[in-house]
Amino acid sequence: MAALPHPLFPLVLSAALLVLAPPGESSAGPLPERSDRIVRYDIAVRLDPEKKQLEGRETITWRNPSGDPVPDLWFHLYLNAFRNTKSTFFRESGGRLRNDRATENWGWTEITSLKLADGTDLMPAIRFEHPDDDNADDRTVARVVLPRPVEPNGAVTIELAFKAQLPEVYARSGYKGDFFLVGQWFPKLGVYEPAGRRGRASGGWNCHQYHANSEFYADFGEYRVRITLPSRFVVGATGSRVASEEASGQTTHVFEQADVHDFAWTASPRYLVVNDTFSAGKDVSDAEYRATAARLGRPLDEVRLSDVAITLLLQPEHRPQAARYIRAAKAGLKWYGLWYGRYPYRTLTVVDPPAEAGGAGGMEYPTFITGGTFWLGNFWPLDGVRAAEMVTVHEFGHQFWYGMVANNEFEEAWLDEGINTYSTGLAMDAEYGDASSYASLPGMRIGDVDVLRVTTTPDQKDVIMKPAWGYAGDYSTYAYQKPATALRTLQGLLGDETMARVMRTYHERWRFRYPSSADFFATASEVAGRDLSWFFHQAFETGHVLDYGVTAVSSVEAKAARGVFEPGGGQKAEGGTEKEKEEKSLAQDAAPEPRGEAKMYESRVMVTRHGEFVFPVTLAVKFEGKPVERLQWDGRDRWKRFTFTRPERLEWAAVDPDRKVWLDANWLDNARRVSPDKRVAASWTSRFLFGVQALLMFLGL
Amino acid sequence: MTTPPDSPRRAAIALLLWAWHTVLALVVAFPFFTWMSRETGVAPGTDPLLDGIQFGTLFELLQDSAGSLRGVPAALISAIGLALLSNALLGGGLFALAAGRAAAEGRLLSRFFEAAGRFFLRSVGLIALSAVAVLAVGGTAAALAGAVLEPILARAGEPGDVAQAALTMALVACVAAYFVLALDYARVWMVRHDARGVVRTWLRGAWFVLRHPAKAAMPGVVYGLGIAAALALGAWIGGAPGGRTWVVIAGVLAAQQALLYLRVLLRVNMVVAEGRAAAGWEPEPDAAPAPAPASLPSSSAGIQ
Repeated sequence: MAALPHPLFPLVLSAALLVLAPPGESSAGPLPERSDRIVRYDIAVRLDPEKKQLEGRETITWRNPSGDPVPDLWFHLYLNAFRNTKSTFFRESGGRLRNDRATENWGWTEITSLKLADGTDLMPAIRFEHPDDDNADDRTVARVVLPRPVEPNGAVTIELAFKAQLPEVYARSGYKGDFFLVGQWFPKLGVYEPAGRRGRASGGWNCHQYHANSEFYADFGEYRVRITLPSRFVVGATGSRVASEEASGQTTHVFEQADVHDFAWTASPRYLVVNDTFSAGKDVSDAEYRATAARLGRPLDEVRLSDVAITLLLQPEHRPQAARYIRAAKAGLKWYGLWYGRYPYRTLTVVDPPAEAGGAGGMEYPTFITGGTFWLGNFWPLDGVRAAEMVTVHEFGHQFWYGMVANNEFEEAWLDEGINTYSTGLAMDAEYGDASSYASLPGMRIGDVDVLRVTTTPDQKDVIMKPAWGYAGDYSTYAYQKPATALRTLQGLLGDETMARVMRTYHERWRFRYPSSADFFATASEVAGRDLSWFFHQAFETGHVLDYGVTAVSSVEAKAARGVFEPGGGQKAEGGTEKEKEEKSLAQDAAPEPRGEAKMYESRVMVTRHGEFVFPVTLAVKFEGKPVERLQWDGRDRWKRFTFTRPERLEWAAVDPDRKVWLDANWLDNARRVSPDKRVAASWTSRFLFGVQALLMFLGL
Repeated sequence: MTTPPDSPRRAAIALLLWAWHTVLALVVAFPFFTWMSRETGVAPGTDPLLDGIQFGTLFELLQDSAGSLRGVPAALISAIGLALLSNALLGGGLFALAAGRAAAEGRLLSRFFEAAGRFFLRSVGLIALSAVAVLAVGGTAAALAGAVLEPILARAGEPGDVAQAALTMALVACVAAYFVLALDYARVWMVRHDARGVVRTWLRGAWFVLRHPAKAAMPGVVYGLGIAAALALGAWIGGAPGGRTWVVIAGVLAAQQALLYLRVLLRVNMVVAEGRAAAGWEPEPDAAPAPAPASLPSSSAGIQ
């Protein structure tokens, strides 16, 4: 865990950045501005749009960041996941990802030449590896032993030539007709993790096979990519286009970007290009800057953002949704930037894939994201379904969680998907209102809370912290929704302001670095000022279900009291295990007898912990004519009974009345009324009756 | 020539039909209400449902108690079966009274059910033939539409896909509307001439609509729009957001039931109008005249 900076450090750094920063960009205090650039890729590639093939050359310069001499290089050859049905990806997915299926148009990558800069041929030394399983047919990882190890802090430059066949797109990368989304397309080095990074005891390569339920992990570096293809294609890519040369009906586009760990691009002759600019001065108000600075306890300068050029590559039939895409991209730049730190890049490209290439949608690459929408979303009322917005904000959010805070997506997918799902919900709520952040339709609104409620169920007993391919059940539940719900619960526990500082500190500390789950947990505990390991252990390392409920409420008139009494009283609480609960329930028949002549009520509230997850909860009780009262319970016992003797009747009791415990598997049993209210039943039954009558009348009359 | 039934009698028949369908629907609504009362009565967490569809709350409610909803689908299926049979019965009575082919004497309900019983089996046959025709012809039409439209619209991408689906659905809807009209006119013929042959009667109805499409469709268009508007308004009232006090709940219920009653009344009027549209529609010269019903008055007076 990094040490906290000297108090004057931000001031010094700000001054330095003011001198060194490019014109138009403001300094951002303790935010790291660049990565430790481990690798440099110079790639030249030509697309044959008829054959759907790529032919490319790479010059890769890799620096050894560790204290070990490294004898080999490991490469990802991701497109070989689509080579045949024997790949690990195909075996695990059955040829399906999300709602898309593989076709008979396969994909592959072949290295045709591999040499050191001095001409030494490395081709004979290439071997395919399968570090995750026993599948010798999987060709997504290759290893080459070097003639001489790369010394600590030394570097090696290799020249590589390759050919790649793009598959018909169903899992992120490929083509459909003359639409190309080219991701994970070039032979790419794995990550050599030094001892100490992410808890490693010793240094070694981290280079996993391409699994059905995994994404990616790579070193930060620099990319310069020359893409040559017919001039009729509109091209978008990671980074900035620095040159464009046309000759003989072919155009070569040159893109550059530093401080990223991947490069993707797209081409289609159908794109409509929409350019816009996120303006740090106009798209964010002074009030928003000040509010953010106050909330985070930072100087105003540290929260200022930068202008970003946005390029939207849109399908023509989605033209009416251009403004929605742009607004969503700006919402991401604004809210993520304010909360976590300035987006450091100059460009953002948003790709709207065609409907028939849905497999390419909803994906993130550095400074380049793919969205997705549908044509009927151009029209009322379906324009109230914020599909384009949600996917754009989410994929943009990955620029922060994965893009800059570069977790290992193979081994700890929740660190980007879960944190980003949490952040996406907050950003969508902030931008579109929390009741309808996902959909605003006639008669129905859907917010982030509804989406997470739908995906929080009592049967989610798997553990979050597993490799992506290790989930027995639903990957999206354990990588996305459950961690997001856990973070919302943590926010409820710590308070909005403390949670905001946790997230800001975590981002700043791990920006352009490679955190592990333990790093996040430690940061949270440190900023919160208390040990949160009890929470993180239960939420992330066990399958414990959190479920508290009010199982019984009663309020009966107490009999007139006689005899001798102690002063005070009126409330008592008792708790216990299930066995004790049974014994005590048999003895709970007689009400205590109140003093005096005023009518008194004995009210009882039973709160039960249904799951194994122990969490402190608030109990709210409402008596007739009185304001709501709150009590705290540590939630440890299996149940707790609260007894009140008051002149007023109890109306209702609720555990977690503010709905801050999002992990609670069942919110509906959190509150209970003493007297039933049948209005909901009557209202919905009348609707139901109307529908049934209309149906029956239609049948043959 | 039959005399159209007067308004009070149409209103009475509509009331009967509305009441019967309400009873059937209540058989399904009762277990629904029981389930809802049990799950929401003491759970303030479900109170947002008073304001309309709350997606997360509704989903959680269904997820938590889906097992105890079991009785509702079973009741619904039973009610549908019963409705199909009873609508054949009641439709026969409705058409007979609208055409003035019911008994001349006796109370309205007695005459209605006497006619309904007389025409019941034939009505069942006509409805079954229409249902089969809709499925067969509609399915064929959909397949043909797909084969014709797909090559034309394939290049248009998403808009083309949506257009293809919309055109196909419109074609199937037209096929369904045609056979619904054919069924109505077949029933008009059946009650007018006490026709016995179900298939021949059905074919006559279908042929009538083909020969006189405008005349045949006009009542359906006019009253059909009214029916659709009544149902849409009823659905809108039911779905409109807003706090629900008992007064509001009762008001919404009353309004929806009034609109359903209106829907049925419009249907009764539509049947009368179809009878008028078929005025002068007589059997062919070589066909034996159908025997008049035993209690047919010498001058028909419609619904008495």
